[in-house]
Amino acid sequence: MPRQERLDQVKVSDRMFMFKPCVGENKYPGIINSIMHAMPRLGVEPVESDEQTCCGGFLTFTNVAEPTSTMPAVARNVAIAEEMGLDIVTMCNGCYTFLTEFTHFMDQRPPVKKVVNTILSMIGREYKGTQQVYHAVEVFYKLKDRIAERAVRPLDGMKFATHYGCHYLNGFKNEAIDDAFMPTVLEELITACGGTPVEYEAQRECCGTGLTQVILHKEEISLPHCQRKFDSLNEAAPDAVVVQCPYCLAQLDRMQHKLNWRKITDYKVPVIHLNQLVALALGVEVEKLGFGAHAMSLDRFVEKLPPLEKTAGAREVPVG
Amino acid sequence: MARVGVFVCHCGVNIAAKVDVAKVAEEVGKLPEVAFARDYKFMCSSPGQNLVKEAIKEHGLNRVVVAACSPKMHLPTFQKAIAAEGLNPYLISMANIREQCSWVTEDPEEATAKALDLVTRQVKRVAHQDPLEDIDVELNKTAIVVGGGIAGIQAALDIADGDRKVVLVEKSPSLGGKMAQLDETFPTLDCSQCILTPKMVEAAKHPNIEIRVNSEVATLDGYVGNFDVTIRRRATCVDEERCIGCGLCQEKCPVKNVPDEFNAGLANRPAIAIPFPQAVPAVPVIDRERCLKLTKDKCGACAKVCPADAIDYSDEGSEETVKAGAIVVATGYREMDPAVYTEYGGGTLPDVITGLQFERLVSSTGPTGGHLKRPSDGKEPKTVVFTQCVGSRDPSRGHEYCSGICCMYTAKHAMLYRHHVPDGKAYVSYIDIRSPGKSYEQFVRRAIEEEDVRYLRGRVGRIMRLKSGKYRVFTEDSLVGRPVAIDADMVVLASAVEPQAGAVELAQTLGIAYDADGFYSEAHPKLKPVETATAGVFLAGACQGPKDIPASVQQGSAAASKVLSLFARDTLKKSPQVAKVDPTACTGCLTCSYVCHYSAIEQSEFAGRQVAEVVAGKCQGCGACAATCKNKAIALAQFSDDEVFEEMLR
Repeated sequence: MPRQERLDQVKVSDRMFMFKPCVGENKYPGIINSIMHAMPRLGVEPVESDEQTCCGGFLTFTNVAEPTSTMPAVARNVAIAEEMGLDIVTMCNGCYTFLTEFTHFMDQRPPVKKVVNTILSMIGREYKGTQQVYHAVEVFYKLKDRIAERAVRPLDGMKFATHYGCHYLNGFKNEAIDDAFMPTVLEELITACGGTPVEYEAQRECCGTGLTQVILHKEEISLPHCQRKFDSLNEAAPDAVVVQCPYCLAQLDRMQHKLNWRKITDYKVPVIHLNQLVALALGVEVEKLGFGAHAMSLDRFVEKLPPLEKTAGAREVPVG
Repeated sequence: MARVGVFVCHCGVNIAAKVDVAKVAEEVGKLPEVAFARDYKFMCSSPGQNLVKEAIKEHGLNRVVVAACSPKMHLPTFQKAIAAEGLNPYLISMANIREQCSWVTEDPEEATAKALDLVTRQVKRVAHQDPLEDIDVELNKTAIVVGGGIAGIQAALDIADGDRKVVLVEKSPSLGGKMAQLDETFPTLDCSQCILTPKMVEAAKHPNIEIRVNSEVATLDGYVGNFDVTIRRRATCVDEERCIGCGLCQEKCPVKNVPDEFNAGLANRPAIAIPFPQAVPAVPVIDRERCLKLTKDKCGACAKVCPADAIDYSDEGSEETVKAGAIVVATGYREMDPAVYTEYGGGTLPDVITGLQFERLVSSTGPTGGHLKRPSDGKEPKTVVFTQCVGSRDPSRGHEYCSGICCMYTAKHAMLYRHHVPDGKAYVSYIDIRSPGKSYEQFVRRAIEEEDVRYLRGRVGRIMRLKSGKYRVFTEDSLVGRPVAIDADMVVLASAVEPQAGAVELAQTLGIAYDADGFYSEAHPKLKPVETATAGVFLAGACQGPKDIPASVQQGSAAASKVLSLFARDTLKKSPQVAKVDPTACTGCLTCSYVCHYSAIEQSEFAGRQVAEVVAGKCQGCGACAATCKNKAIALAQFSDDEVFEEMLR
């Protein structure tokens, strides 16, 4: 059940800063492209900046760099949005946790903020702490009714499984808009898009990326874990899995492929990002969603897609 | 003319080590009011008291100052001593030169100077004190017991056996409380109902006990010995007097899907039902929200079949006022709803049940007739995980306190499970095992060593529902130091003990204190375990804090003995330190009555005009009215302007 008090704090503006995730840039361009096309259809002008860098999370999560050295990078990225006076929309659980956690850390500790700003002053920037950091799922959830209203390609008859990702619900759980163990926001968004959410046994299991990241490569632990997750996922046989984190997307997508390639299994569940799901429902052309970059083929998924409706707004808004 | 005697105590070395007591006595002796002054090693001892008595006789003293410890400690001792010599017990004052002087002052000279100062002030004050007489208050010897669980039943029976009248008020339709829902009890595994139901019947049959079920205390007025208690009865639509308890109505009721409270929601009951077969009284109650007659004006089957003509749909409940001298509060506890524990399914997984639900599943009067079947598919669970501390010892989402009973009942549950399913596996995940009761530790050891219950030290992190219908329980064995996953058929959560819903509201109605968790506060955590801050209101059972059956029974009996010793007197002595209105000075504005917390000021008439009057029996002597009165028409005994100003100004 979504937490109302957190939800009330999420404010959707006319223009918002789209914080691009590294996986979106280098592996799955569809994640960024789809939100860029989806947001205008929901009345939000997406703004991006070429000055934005990597969030720095990867370096900290894997103990390559200390938090003190990645914190100025966070401050710099947030400062870019601050200069434009825009709230930030992240589309990756890692970016979200990292930006939220470190801005909170700096806001609550003025001496740290001062040190960080001393470093930033060398490049003529300053972190003030005036803008909010949101996850795309929060913004979409706020616009749920609008999505349902403007869904010109309602995904009727299509089944979707969900995977939330640990770093959103569990990592910084006081900030997430939903419960860590019994979340429903993705299911509600799928329903708003016209699809049907399906359950599977290992729904709440981690995707396993934490142990297969390049530096901490422990495939022998991660792969059997993934295999259990995929087994139950393939048993439930959804048309696609919807994730809200590019890392989960990469892991679930490519590990299925890896296990298939080693002739251990024959998995075939495609994985898509929430941005792609919403863009699909809003009628963004399939060619713009970057499905070609996915390891698990989306061909059958695309074939199954309902045809585009001519007019929007004729649909009844689903409840819950 | 005041002739004051001053008696300075050494209190061994407690006072004498810092205060030059001889010097204090000598200096005080020079005051014009003082007729006699001396010091002594232990003034409170028998020779010390005799010293006071003899000095009164010898020197014709008419006022006494004792310079010793706090008046809380020994004022009554010396009041008795001077009363024995015929002196009014209110013509004494104590100077506290121990707690407020010798114990807190380092320098002996400063301590002596301060002691002298304190004693002098009391001498000046006592010279202006007036003799007072204790107020006699009439005493109503009926007790009201709120709550008909085991603690309330025990208290009611003990008071009734002491030949006093008891009104036993119970919110639900039957006596019995939580104990009636239990299967067997630790540490002897005797059947809960077998030892409880005779007590319920005894209470119902006792000539001194009147039972009010479906009722709650609505308001409380008055003071110890003279309470006026309004008892509100819910509308049940069944006439208790006429009903013969045949049960025909519940057989014929077409609504069959009302969740059964007695079976902790594991079964359904009709809209008109006797709560359980052994209920006392065995009278059904109509569920007003579910009854077809009352909601849609259809049906009426129960009234048609009732051979005693006991159904009355027009029942709107009733209120009565009962006069009583004492109140025992025994409202018990409730089991915490594990909804916030979403990692355990938050109450949505059918085979993840609470401790009370497990009791119903193994009980022979339960929904499965005593055959252990899990709720989802009715199969016998072959592996069960018992999870302790769900909501207890968890300040982040549950309660900070330890619920106290779960370690024991979990050991009992695991044992009962092994008796029901001898080839089944029972696991207990625990943080610590707390078994400090008679034969309790042996009971837990028996579960581990003889009944083959596997105890794993660690908290359950998550419960995952598997396709196979099993539940994967992720926990750890912190003694071995590794994570554990158990595929269980059923999981039992030892949900925390919580104060009853509405506990705080009732506390406010009764004027008793409660702690941050909502449990009622006793007057002193060690020395007054059943009294409350309000005289005449006593506590028993789990409403005061989590308790098992033996402790609840003990406290029920303890509260009853307090009531009986209160009722042994015909009148109550009350301190005469109360406010008094001078009607000639009173303007009748009644501002005093608005500030009085105890409703002790009433409107009266003097010389044909309205004035205020203090009801001495209700007045607690707080002085709020005296401070408020613009005309200085109210004086508080022992705190008259003369006394206070003399003490302050010297």
